[in-house]
Amino acid sequence: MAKKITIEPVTRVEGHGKVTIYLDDEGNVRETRLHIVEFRGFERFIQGRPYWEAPVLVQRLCGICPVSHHLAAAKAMDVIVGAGPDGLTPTAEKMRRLMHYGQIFQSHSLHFFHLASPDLLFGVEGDPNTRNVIGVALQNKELAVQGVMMRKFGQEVIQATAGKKIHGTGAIPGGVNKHLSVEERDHFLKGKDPMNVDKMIEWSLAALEFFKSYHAQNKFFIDNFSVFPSSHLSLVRRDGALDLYHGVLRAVDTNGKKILHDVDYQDYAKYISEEVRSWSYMKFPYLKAYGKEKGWYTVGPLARMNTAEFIDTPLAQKEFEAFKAYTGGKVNNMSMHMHWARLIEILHSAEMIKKLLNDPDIVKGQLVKKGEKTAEGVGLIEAPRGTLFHHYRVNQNDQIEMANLIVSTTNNNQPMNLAVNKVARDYMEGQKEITEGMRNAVEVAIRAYDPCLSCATHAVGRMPLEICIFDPENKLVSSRTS
Amino acid sequence: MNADSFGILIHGYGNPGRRDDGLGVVFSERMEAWARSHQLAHIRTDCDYQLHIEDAASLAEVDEVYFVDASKSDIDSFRLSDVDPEPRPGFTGHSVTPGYVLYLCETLYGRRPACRLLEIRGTDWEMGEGLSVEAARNLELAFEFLCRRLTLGDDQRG
Repeated sequence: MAKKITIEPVTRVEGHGKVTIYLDDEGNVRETRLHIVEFRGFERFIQGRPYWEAPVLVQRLCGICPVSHHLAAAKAMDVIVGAGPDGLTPTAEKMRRLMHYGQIFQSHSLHFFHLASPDLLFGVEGDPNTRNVIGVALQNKELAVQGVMMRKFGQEVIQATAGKKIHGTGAIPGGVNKHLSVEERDHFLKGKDPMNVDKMIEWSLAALEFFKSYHAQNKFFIDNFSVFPSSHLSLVRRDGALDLYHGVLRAVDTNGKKILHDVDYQDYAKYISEEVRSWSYMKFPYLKAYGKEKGWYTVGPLARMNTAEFIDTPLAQKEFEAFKAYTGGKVNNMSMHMHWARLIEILHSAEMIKKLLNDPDIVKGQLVKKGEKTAEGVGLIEAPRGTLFHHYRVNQNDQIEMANLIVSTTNNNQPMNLAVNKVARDYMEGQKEITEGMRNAVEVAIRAYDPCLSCATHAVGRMPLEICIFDPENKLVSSRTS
Repeated sequence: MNADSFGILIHGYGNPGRRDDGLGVVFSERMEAWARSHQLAHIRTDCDYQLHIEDAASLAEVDEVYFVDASKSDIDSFRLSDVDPEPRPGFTGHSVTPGYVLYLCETLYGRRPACRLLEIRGTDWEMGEGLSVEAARNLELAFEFLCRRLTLGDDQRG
């Protein structure tokens, strides 16, 4: 009899995920699906609100990456108030960057040390009772403490730049509302050990060494787990450098050929569309020129390593060169190398935080700039999990009349589904018994993307939900569309 | 009080953009103002959307902690209960339980402050600002209760 395996909820990722795997009578994988079951009606909620509220309101989407939404919305509003996307004052842009690199630093640190490292330390099929951060702490206390302190450091940078922990107000249309005080700057530069940026750089390098050492000992797993061809998309700086805050949109195919040529993201809708599939609330974005079947792409740390030509900080550049050399400069499609890429970005973020803290524009200078208002604006940012799109249109009364968000996890919808399928086939096919380790292997594949499912769904009423029930012979016995 | 520690931490958490889900945050802000006005320097407050692993480091610096959260449970206006260390993480590592934070604190820092959870009953969880009338009333009752409790001596609080 055909079997259906459900893994629900997917642990150690955000929101609620559900994976369904259908096996046929021979135990072969017939079909797999990663379902998104949490639902938020944010885009409708924000309609009618004055545009200047957007950077604060959007943080309600999710308590995991509020800074990314805050900044992406502010960037869109820069356009609407006539200051963007390239017209901020040096102080405003640097303060926002500082906030953003704090976010990347803390988010990536949490992911690597506390969500991914248990799988590395104990293996995909390790004892589930110890395969968590407590297990890490018991085996490698130093690593676990470093993860906590790195996360705390990044959170403090965010608080100092955003103004407060909850519903930060630092970024406003056309700029920012504060400088960093000299005391705050000195706290991050020269704070008591370990809470200073030099220690963060040192620990970032140590984390990279940890991964590289693990990689050397587990080459087969790291290089062969969930590998499949993919295109990659991200912002890059106009000169091709990695840039997590601002730039132009670039995509490369699995052979490294540019398929989106450094376009202005204000025009994203010309190039990118989203497909709705009946079985998921989460849409499937794709490059229009390549169609629904072939136009999907990956975003996030691995994609950024594939699209960027160099990194503009010395230590991260050295690591980037080693990363690129590993594949001979070719596109890297090894899912577990996402952890490697993430660690390079942690290091880059720490270096950027130091560079910005030493910049005098951070503590003085003009905060806001405005120009001629426009009715529509797009804000993009490279959030920890990948490219985040915010698009708004306002009416004559300054109210938001349209909002469209494509969040990072939505961009990764298709690759995550393919990763599930690949791992299910690799680990489960032909097996008499489906073990906990096999199920965890599927989760490891999803976890590599660090998905945040809680904000990756769209407005109420705009997408149908189809509920289908199949019997073991795969015959539809009941269905409902709502 | 431990010479190296900072007394009492009141840590409220939740999303104020989801109406009564913000009860813990509103409570924490009220408590901060109250402690300041009464010059109770040994009481400090914190708030966030949810609990995180790095809160374990904050716990290691105090003798006593009160986590404050909104509750959907069928309780009276509020409920105070002891928190025991909980070795298994919850559903996600991005958002953890008070018991897990306590266990992490003990494991990483070798400290175990007295830890309690103050749950305040809410009724409205939709997107929007401000508490429901019922939640606001429950918050007042819980606030009065904890203020009274915090002004008692260490031995009387138990």
